[in-house]
Amino acid sequence: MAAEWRLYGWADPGGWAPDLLTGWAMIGCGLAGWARRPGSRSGGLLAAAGFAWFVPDFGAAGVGPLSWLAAHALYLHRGPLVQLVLTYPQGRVRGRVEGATVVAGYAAAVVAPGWGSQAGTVALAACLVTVAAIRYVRAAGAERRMRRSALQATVLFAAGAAAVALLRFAVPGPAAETVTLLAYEVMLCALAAGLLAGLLRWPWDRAEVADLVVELGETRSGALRDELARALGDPSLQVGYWLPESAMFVDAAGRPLAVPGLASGRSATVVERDGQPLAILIHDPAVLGDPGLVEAVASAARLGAANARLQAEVRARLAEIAASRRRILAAADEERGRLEHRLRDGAQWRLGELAQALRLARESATGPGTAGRIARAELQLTRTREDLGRLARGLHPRQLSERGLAAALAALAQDFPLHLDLAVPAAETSPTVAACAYFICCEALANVAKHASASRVQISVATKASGIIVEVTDDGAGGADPEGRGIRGLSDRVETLGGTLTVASAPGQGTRLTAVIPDSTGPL
Amino acid sequence: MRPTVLIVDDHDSFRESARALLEAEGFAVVGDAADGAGAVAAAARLRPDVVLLDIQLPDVDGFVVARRLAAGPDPPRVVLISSREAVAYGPRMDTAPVCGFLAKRELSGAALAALVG
Repeated sequence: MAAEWRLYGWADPGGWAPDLLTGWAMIGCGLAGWARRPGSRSGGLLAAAGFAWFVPDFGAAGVGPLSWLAAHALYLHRGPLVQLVLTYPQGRVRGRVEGATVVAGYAAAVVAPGWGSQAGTVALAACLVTVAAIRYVRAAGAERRMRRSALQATVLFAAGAAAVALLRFAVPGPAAETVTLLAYEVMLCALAAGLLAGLLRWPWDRAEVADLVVELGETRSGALRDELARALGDPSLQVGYWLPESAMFVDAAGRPLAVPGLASGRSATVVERDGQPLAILIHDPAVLGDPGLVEAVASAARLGAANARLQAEVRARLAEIAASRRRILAAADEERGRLEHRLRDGAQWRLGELAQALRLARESATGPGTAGRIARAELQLTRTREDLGRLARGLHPRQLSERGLAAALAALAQDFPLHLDLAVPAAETSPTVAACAYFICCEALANVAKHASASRVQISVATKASGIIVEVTDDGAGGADPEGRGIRGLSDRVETLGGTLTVASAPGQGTRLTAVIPDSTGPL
Repeated sequence: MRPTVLIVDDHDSFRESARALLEAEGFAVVGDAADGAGAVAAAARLRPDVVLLDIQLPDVDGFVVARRLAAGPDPPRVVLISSREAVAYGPRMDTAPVCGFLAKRELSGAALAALVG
């Protein structure tokens, strides 16, 4: 007030009133912001700009050093303003480019030509906007939202300053100076009010995360990650849940989650309860820079994680059970393979020798009666060898491992008493899937031969990238029991591999058995 | 006069043993064949009283061969054989133009004689 009086005298309210208002607006808004958000330096900077605004007014005080200072301080307020808009809303200078720009802003305020020159002002304004824009584009998450505010403030300030400079350049003279000064003062007031409003609303993230806490009570575990990712503005966010028994973090699907190392450029924030890890957030380092935000997210995660962790735990258990079922099946198949091998190399081979010996005995037999009795023994032996061969094939078809599914099914068809159509492509499938398909056909054919009174049977196998589809159709009596032991066993086998088995068998309509077996059974 | 027999089966060892067995038990085995086409040709040439016919043959199955034999002049009596039981063949067994079925394990001169009368 004293400064205004010194400069204008009370007789010129058109001169001193806007000037006074502008300075007070900045000081007032700055102090209010500082009081409400002591963690941010923006309020202080705004107030400093307000005080600096009045310094040139002491130019007429007549005191030597003060006059000198005032004469050089016409643009002093722009120093703190530059720092303010660039670092808004936190007010802390971060990074060398930003630091250099802030220093340049202060330097231009006291060193000629600086802000005093129109060209210099335009250049500085362009430079400011560029720096703010780059910082905004490179930021992520919550940081990005802050940078957007900084960019908006910077653009307003730079545009105002540049516009004033250009107008004064285009229309020299005191009239234009008065008008542009007034416009500049209005712009500064608007800037001060806008920045204060922003400060009072800040930090928006915490509010958004706080809303989440309410929502998360009922959300599912996958949704927790999505909601947090949205609230934090980091789409790459991963949420892991701690499984105490296995001492590791798993994601919502129960898969183990790798915790990134320091060099990965990702940050890990562990959410704890009662000193025990509960969940882990793997995120962009920028998004959880504010300790208050970390606490808000942690409480949100704590609430959601209890529910989500249970689900993740159940899924992890299910995955474990599925893996163990696959291991058991593989072990059983291996055991059957070993039995088949022993039958073939032991009993069957010796019976072959015996058949040879009997043939020699019959050929050298003297009477037809002896030869006939030996021939009867030979026929019994043949029958026994066939039975044994069938048993061995049922245990583990050698054809399957040696020549593939198509060949094994063709051999099966040869031995089948009814007319059998085969449509089986000679495609590669994993041994587990091929064995599954083979046993489905075996069991289905055995059922047809035993119960169906069918005259035709068709087996078709379709190979897809994702697995195979096996279909066994007959034209028999239908009415097969899907809960029967044979079909139950097949279902178990198919489901162990993550597939499905369906039986359609209306009475009088034949039977259609369809198995879909995925060929991505995962690690054993 | 011993009844004459044609043995049709794709396994050499079975044909040999069956021949020895039937020869020892009152039949005269006049020939054998390893597939359906051979069976029809041999039957036309040898005119046996009985054809012992395996159902599972490499070219056509025993039911088809039986129908072809029955369609010829002065058809032989046909007995189907298999290593399976008759029930496995369902309704086709009931309509086949044959005079009987023997599981291979039951094969003997007496059993064959009982079927062909």
